[in-house]
Amino acid sequence: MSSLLKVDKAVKRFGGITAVDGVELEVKEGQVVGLIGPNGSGKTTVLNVITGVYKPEEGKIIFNGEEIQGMAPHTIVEKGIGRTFQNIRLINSQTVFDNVWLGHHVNSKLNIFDIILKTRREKEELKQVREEIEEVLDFIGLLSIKDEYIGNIPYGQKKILEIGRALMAKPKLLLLDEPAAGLNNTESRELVQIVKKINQKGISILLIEHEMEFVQGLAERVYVLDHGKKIAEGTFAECTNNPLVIEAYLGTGRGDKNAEN
Amino acid sequence: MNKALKILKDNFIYLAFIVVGLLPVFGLPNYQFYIVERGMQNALVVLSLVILLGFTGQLSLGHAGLVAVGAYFYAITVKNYGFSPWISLILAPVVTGLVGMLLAIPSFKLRGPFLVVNTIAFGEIVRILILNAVDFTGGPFGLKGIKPLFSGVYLYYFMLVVVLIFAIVTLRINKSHIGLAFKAIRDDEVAAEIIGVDVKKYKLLSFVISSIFAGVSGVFFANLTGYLNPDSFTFEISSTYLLMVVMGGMTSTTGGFLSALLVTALPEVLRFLADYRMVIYGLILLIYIRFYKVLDIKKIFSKLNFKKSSEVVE
Ligand SMILES: Nc1ncnc2c1ncn2[C@@H]1O[C@H](COP(=O)(O)OP(=O)(O)OP(=O)(O)O)[C@@H](O)[C@H]1O
Ligand SMILES: [Mg+2]
Repeated sequence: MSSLLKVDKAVKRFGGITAVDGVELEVKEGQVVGLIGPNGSGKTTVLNVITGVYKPEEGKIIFNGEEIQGMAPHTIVEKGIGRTFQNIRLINSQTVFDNVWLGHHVNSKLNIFDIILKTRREKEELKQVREEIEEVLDFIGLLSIKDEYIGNIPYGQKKILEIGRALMAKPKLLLLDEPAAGLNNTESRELVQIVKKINQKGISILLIEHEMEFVQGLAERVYVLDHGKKIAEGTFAECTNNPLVIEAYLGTGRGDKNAEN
Repeated sequence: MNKALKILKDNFIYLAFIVVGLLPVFGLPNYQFYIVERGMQNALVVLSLVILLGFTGQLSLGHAGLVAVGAYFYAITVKNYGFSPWISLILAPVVTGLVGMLLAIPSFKLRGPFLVVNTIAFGEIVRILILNAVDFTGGPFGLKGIKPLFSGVYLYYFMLVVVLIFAIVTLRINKSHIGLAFKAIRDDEVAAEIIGVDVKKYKLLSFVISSIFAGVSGVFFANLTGYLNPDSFTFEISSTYLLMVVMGGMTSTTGGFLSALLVTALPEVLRFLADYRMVIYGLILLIYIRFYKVLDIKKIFSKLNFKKSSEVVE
């Protein structure tokens, strides 16, 4: 298996805090990799550094053999990295359908003249995109609410919708930031199935999650962060039995999901 | 019934244009005719703001400056350099589009009130440049005797067709992935960038399209009045454009078109009130804004991109 993503000794500081402190991590093609750690350990910041929200002060991000640190976020999406947000960020004034459509943005070949003149290219692409959107909505089980506005749909559906939007960009790597947080058990179980199916399509996944069962069921490899540093890596069992990890979780006492909410 | 209503609603814009198109048939007196023409000319600026403000959330209070660029470019090239009016009609929006690029650059960094102040400054700079470039613009004395594209009712219909085309362009943008990108920028520009929208590029595009519309409106202004003077492009005029687009519902093409016609005509209709005219004008606008259901002021302000989209990405 060749390496798809490599975070190489990345450092990201905010004023006095070093949120990401020399983290090394790798996702190989086809893998589902877990990224866990107590609250505030720097997981989301790692995602932000990978997706270009922040440029790391030190270190490299290598995707598909190319250094991508410092590139604009939209360029990184074009390269094939999609993500969801821990705190949902959908476009509230639009419908479910349109939000998914927005995910396709990076793949659109149409320019403003195609739109204004309604060219054949435009009609063809639109027809194809519409089919794709419905396929994705069907895949994540939201086809029946495609015309609903975001304000009218429940939290759990919004979370899954973000995954649909990310899929529309046809990513090679999908970064999920606590996708199960706030979902009930049924939704959570459905989500596991969806993530598995996404992975079966050949999309690699980097998964941040507090819900340990969720990580256990999906990730073949796990990295553990604490205070911005990687303190362990290996299989789920290896990590959870590692004394450093146990201490990190017990030490802060905020490892479980209930404490977080 | 419902279906009929829907068809009516979807095609309301055409109905509006047909009605306006029939006006000359009823033989309006010259002055009233002129007011309708000015309404159409303003409608182009309103459409320009529907795209920039309504869709993209970028508030400009300097659009009179863009209209001035289009108007003066047309007038100077036609009058001083002997360009064919048709060539100038084509070139004027190109030039305003380029100027619009300059206006877009501050929007890459500035938001909300800071950007607004910038656009006001832009409008004032244009006006002061015109005032001082006396050799080209005639300064405070203005430019007289500008050759129009057509005269009389032909100009009216030409304008009507052009405004209709621009209205259709606005509607098409609204329903496209580009319109969606604009609205994503309006609602949450940080998220838009992270999910793949090149925010700078689309802000630039929105400003350029908006400026092109405003430039064409400027050409029409020069055609209608035959006379240009910096007083026609003040901050007050820019504010009136804002009023028109807000009253039209901000994102509505048809609403913007009708609102431009109404707000242009209202002070004239009220002329019989003499001294009380502007008081009543203000009152009517207040009442309208208070009671018109489509206008949710809170919602409109929330669309103004004043609140920063959260930079903290979690
Ligand atoms: N934009 C920012 N400005 C300042 N500090 C930040 C910023 N983003 C993150 N931090 C800080 O960096 C540290 C790591 O935060 P991060 O959000 O990456 O943690 P996390 O592991 O995702 O936590 P959680 O499990 O609560 O989501 C925290 O101390 C946080 O306060
Ligand atoms: Mg986080």
